[in-house]
Amino acid sequence: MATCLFRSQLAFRLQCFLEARKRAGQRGIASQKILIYLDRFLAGELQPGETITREVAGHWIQSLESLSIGTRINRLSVLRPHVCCALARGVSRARLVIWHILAPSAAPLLALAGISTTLAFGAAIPVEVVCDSPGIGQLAWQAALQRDFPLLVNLSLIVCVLTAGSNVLAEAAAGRIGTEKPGR
Amino acid sequence: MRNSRRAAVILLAAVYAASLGASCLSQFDYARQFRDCVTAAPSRLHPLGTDELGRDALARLIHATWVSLLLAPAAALLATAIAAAVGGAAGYRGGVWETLAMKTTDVVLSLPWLFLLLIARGWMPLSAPPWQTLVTTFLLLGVFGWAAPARVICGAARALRASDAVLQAKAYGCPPWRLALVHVLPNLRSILLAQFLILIPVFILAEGNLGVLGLGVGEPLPSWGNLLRDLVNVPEVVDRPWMLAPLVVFAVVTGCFYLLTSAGENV
Repeated sequence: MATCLFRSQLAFRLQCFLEARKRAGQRGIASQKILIYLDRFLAGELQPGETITREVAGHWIQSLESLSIGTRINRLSVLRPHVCCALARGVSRARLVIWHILAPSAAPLLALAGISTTLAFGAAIPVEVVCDSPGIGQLAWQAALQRDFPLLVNLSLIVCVLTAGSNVLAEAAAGRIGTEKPGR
Repeated sequence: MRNSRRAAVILLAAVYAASLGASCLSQFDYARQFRDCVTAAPSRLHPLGTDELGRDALARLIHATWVSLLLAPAAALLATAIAAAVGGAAGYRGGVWETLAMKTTDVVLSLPWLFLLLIARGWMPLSAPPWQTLVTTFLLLGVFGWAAPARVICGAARALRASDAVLQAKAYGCPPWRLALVHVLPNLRSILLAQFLILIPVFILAEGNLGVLGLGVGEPLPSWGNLLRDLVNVPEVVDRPWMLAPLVVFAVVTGCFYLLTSAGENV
């Protein structure tokens, strides 16, 4: 009975973990953009003329969910013992965030960014079409409407190559940082 | 969390009931054109007005809701079934099979799925009948959407392989089919259900994306994507705010599905 209970607990934990990882992998780059934007907004760094452009708003809408995942990652890392220890030692806030929270979680974050290149390109299609800004997404849309398959296939190939490249870069960067390799 | 989940279930049930009772709520066919009142304001005859071809907006909204809420779960069911077959078998067998299956899911995951959908959808001739585009759109979603859940299910099945219950069943000489159906599948049930629930709003959104791009369900069949396409013209929407009704229903339904899944995750 006890083993059974323990196992179901374990399975549940595993499920939660895998769920969170899967969802975190879904929308990465856009959410990072939003986080940076929000950060600048909160820090009062935005120029007076710089308002939310339509593209930023589009990304915003696409990645509302991943924003919550970003905060969840932060919340998890804040709870770690070494962070509590650093806090207790009186480490400054900036140092705490950069060295004690961001650095250890760089590897998964980089992996997330690598995987989500594809999704960012996918999300670019409706944003570019609706906002009428030229780019790969709009080109793919026009190609699909005109049944231009060679162009569509080549665009997909380009996106695949970029995804593979960003994955390689993410792994290399994680290796340089020296923490664990990006989780698969 | 409990309450929000309950509220989501009630709201979804209400939307389902409303869409199933379509014939009672709206007396018009979704394709019938009223040529004398084009782009009309809401009235007693047309509670949500008419579109630019003079079709009753409420009838179209109800029919679109019915279509999306029936076919998105069907596509999610298909994707979950494929994921369960691939991920479950790979995780349970282990070894070469698992490596092979995980490499395949990696490849599928790194493919730009919206581009693939555009290619596959663009493959269909322009003269294809509307119902065929409808079924194809959701079939493609189901066929392309299996990779991410397959990884989750594979991880769970791997954990199950090492469990005492399966070891004991093997020791009793349980045949493989019985092992899979009686011992493995029921233990994966909660994960499968979670994946299924996660996929539904993803597919609804994907259909909306395709519809806005004009590559979803063909006219005159209404779908949420088609209806959202009318909202691209912003000045017109500002003048006629009741056109936002499809957007409200769309947001509420996808929000409810997300609430359902996230409530399960944060227990």
